[in-house]
Amino acid sequence: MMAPYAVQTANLGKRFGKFEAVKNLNLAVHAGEIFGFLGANGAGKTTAIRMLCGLLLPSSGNGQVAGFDIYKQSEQIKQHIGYMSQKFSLYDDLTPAENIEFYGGVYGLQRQTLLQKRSDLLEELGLTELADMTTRSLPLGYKQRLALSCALLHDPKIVFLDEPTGGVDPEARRNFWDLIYHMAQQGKTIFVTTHYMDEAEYCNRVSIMYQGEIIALGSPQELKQKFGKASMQEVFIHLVDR
Amino acid sequence: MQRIIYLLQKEFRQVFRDRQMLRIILFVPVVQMFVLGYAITTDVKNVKVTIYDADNSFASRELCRRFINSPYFKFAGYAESPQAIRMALDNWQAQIGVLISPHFGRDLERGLQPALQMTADGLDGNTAGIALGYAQGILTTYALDLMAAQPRLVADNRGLPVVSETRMWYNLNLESKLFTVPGLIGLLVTVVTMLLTSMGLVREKEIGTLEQLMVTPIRPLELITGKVLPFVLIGFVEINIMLALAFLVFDLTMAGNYFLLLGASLLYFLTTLGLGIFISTLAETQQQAMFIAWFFMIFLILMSGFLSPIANMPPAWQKVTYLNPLRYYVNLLREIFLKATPLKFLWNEIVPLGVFGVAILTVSALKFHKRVS
Ligand SMILES: Nc1ncnc2c1ncn2[C@@H]1O[C@H](COP(=O)(O)OP(=O)(O)OP(=O)(O)O)[C@@H](O)[C@H]1O
Ligand SMILES: [Mg+2]
Repeated sequence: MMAPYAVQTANLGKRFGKFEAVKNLNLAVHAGEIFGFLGANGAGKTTAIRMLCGLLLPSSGNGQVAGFDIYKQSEQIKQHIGYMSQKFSLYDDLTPAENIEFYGGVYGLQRQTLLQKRSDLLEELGLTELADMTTRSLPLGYKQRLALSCALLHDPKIVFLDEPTGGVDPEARRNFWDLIYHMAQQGKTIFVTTHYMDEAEYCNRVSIMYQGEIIALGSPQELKQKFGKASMQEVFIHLVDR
Repeated sequence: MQRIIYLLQKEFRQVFRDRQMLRIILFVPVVQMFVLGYAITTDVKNVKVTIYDADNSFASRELCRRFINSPYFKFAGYAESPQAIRMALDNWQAQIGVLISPHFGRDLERGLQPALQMTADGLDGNTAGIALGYAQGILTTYALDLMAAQPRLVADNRGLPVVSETRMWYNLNLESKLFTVPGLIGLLVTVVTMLLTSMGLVREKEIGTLEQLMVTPIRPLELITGKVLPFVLIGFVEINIMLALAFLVFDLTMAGNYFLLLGASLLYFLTTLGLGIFISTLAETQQQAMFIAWFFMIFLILMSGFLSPIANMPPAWQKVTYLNPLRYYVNLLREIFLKATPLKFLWNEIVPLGVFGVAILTVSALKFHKRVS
């Protein structure tokens, strides 16, 4: 309970049959930090996040999220985290308003609070006019911000974002990162995976994962200095695309 | 509780927005009933008939001749004994067997109204019913001709000089439509509740919303309840559509209690919904779910006595049917529908149905937890 870190793991591992998707993961993410979780396709990022969110039982090691044990207290963890999965996680055939209402209801918000939040959010996302359209017909950027909003309806302390900006244009990505900064300012911890190295520059600290292992960890500044590169892009290529 | 209501609201919004799904829900029972109606009224020709003529009198030979010359029947040869009739039916050499008793001709002369015994292969209920109808027709014509030729037979005023005694070799007392409708109800609700439940859950797996729901504080039981309850309601809607068609189009009446029938159905839903959840834990895609559901459906339907009577199965298979919840449900439907059997005589069916339902649902609910595989 007294863990000073929002996320902490010790030798956390996951194997699927003989295949080790995550090996000896050691992480300590501070509260209020924006932590970038980088790695090429198949490095094991999603697998690690799923273990931290209580979706997947680890094969070895330990971990705590929000001070709760990931083996025994996954239900408590779920009350304190928001998770936006790599897959699209809204109901396409419902309207944005209906999506918000549904997730709010599932998170157990009071009816009054829920209705208030719904109209605030639609306003904020610029969706008031589009409220009667199905989510399917929204532009991708809108969908992603809506999905984030739905994952945050219960005001969690820690937010896990698995490739939140995959496939959207640079403009929409910047908007999304504005939201991430805004959340961090409110004191939330952000744990985010991405394939875009320009986004890595925005993080307080990053880890780079390669074939299930963390091969570098530090602030973008530190890593660039350490490997003598001008950008995170080059650092990443230096480490991963060997 | 509140969460379940939000889940239900969401499910119904989705169902009513999905025209395709609505169409399936409404039209499948209609189509099924009409296909059945068609099957019932199809002409049956060339029904294989065997005759055991124990009398071998002038009168009995005349009767045989009429069967042999009828366009509806195909003569499969004379049987040498009553047992030979049964054997011919068992070996599918004949679909209907006619037995003329030893003193047929003499009894006829004396006005004793001898009976012609006709046994049909009840495996194919529709054909059997129609074949018996034809046989009855031949017998009636024969009787009327007799009366015209020998007016003294009429004087007794006791009806026809010959009567028939029909028997179903497999299902005694056949009323094909009445017999089929309960079976069809069982079939349809199995498909609707089991298949749709599994597909609904797997669809959320495919689009990723299930994973999203699993990181919320929702309890697995709430999630399951919210996901299956809509299909319970849809199942009841289907039952009512089928019943309405049976009453309006096919002029059937239900002998037993409507609410008892709904209660039995609810009990059966425990099984199908449980299987639906179980399937969803195995399948990753809707195609897989459909395939696995198909596998379960084949077992449920073949081993239920709906298509082929249980009494006709090999003994080992007959024992296997006791493991089939649909067997009990179809039995219950038939008992309630046809015979108005009161509740207190139905425990032999209700108890196993309930036990299977609770067990299957419990196992499935335990297997369904908030983790991805
Ligand atoms: N349920 C599973 N069973 C077997 N192997 C799995 C399973 N889930 C993931 N893997 C494997 O584990 C490895 C890591 O997968 P993971 O999804 O964690 O990678 P990732 O870093 O998130 O990749 P991406 O950037 O493509 O999202 C991959 O090789 C994947 O095939
Ligand atoms: Mg991933």
